Amino acid sequence: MTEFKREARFAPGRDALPSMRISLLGASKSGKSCYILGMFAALVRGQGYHQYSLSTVHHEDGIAMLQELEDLGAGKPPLGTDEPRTHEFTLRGGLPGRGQAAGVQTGVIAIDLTDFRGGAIREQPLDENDTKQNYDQLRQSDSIFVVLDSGHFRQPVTPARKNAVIQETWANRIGDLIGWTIREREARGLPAPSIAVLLTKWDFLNDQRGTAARGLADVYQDVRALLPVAFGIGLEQYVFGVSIGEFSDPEGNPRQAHIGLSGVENPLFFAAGCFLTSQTQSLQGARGQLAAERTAIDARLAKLTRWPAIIQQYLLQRPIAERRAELKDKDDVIAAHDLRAAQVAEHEKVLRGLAT
Amino acid sequence: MENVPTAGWAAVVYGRTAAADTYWQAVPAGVTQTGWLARVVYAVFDKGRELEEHPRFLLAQESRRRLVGVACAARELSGELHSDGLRELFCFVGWLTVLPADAAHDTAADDDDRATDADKVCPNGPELDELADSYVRWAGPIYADMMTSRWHEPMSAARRATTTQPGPAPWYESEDGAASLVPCPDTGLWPAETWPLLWSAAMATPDPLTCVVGWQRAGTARRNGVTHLGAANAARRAAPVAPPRKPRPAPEPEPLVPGSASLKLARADTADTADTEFETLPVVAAAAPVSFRARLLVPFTWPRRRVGLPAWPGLPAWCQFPGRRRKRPRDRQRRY
Repeated sequence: MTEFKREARFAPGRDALPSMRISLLGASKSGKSCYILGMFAALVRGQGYHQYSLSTVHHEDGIAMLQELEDLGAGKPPLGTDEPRTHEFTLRGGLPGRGQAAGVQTGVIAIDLTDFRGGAIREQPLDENDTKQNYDQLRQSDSIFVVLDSGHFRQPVTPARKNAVIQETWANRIGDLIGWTIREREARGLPAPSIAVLLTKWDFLNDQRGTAARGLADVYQDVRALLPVAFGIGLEQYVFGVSIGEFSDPEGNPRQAHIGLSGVENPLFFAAGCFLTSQTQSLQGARGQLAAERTAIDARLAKLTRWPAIIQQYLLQRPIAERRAELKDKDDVIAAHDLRAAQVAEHEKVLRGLAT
Repeated sequence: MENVPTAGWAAVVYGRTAAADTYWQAVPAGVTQTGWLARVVYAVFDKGRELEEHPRFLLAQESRRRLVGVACAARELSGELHSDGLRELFCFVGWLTVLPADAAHDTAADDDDRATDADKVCPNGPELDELADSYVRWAGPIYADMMTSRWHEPMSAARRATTTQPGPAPWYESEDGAASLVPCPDTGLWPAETWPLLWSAAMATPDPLTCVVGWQRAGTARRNGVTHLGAANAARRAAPVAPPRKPRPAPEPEPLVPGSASLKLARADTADTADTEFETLPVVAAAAPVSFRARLLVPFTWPRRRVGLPAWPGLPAWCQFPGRRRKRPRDRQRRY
């Protein structure tokens, strides 16, 4: 209880956490909304040794999402996404260490996850429609989840099938939007977004193991051929197979089934790890600035302390005390900053490890 | 201050088609799909949650704009255009009216307190029981008209919502205006037994509001963007004060639509509603009888509602007789 109080006092609120935006791109009925439900359900209980967990800012939103997932299991088909919807999550986790704060859960990242209406990526962004709003959010995205239905990859994507698969997965539109986002962010001096390719309904491929099973390595080559822009040099990308249960038959008709979450948390860990990498870099930049400020204060103090002791004692006592106080404050800030940077680096390492 | 007749009602149709993942199908001219219209439609539609069994009704208004409509399962409105092949679809069909600015000023000028604020004007609309009984008959043809041509049209960048023009309302609009205005009812949750009076009170208030009724469970109802929420199991509370209702003519018999929910409603409509109308009226305080002295003063007051009185050419709007504006010619454009 003491630890909780201590941590609660020093733990930053969601507003103080680094904020990451993720956008989901995918064809209509590719499983974007269902994936979000599964990811939240997998992470709401905590995952891994460090107990990374996800919580919604508004508790009723979380309840509604879990209810939707249960409805899916009961054979109720998922509702379509009509309005641009941003899910506000907080990723929490604890780090090993010594002392009272060891293992205590703290907020790591504030995550805004935008679920695009499938049709929006095929519409023209105009002032009169919501597509423009989606484009604005895409431009701010630190990570893009490209959602592809695994059903398209049951057979290898041969040159004969390639055009059909491109058309069915809307790969041209998705590729265009990824390129546009990278360019827009570059123009604003922002790093390129990390790209996680999600192969939803992955269990359908695994079910066929023994007859026509295709491993992730095989499908990876197909995805790479389908979306070369996502695999450009300097981009961070990863391909994940995810499934939340066999709530529909191979033809897509809904059916009753148990919830079977598999691999759904990994893309989020990957995106969080990539985001923390950029955070580490920005923290390093801030650390350099803090160090420069400290050096300047130190130099001013050195100028004052060059005078004979009697002058320092009778004339410069106050400015010297002020410089020393400033120096102490700056040291505290740097120490807190270093601690924060160390935590971010540790989280980054752990999350990347969990993702892969 | 009184409710005033409106310039007309333009249709709003929101719901996806079988072939394209896009929702705005019909939007009134001069109104964008974003902003206020989108907020209130999202508030009642809520992805179509819990619309399988029970429709939801919307009454939303802000400065001089009022939207009345219903969110329901598409199969209620059409026996054919209701599924994308895998799942049942839901839709919203509504009617939007924009009160002309000059009408607002004319009405406001009649007030003793000279409240010239254009917001203090309240357009007409259907009563809740009227809407609940007749929405299939009113919204069905609009839905079919808008969706039939677009149902199998694939998604494309050139796709746009149909622009609709104001036309006569499908419900009865009294010529002498509606009841007098009442204060805005308290916000929050309202149980099922208060919905008719809540709706009537909301219709008779000029304040901005978004009233959604039809949810069955308060726990799962969407509250975001809603000021007055009707959830059947909400905690009991006293019904709001509503103005007395004016008698309306009996509705026309509803044509039966095979395979739709109109069958149930058609039975209710074919009954002689004239006898039972007073039983369904909300309980309100009766208006005081007009005194003999007041009757004597009538010839000395300004003529108020003279239907069909011709406009005086060459004179500004404030010199014209107050009253209902002439309707638009019927042969101009598509009217909903």
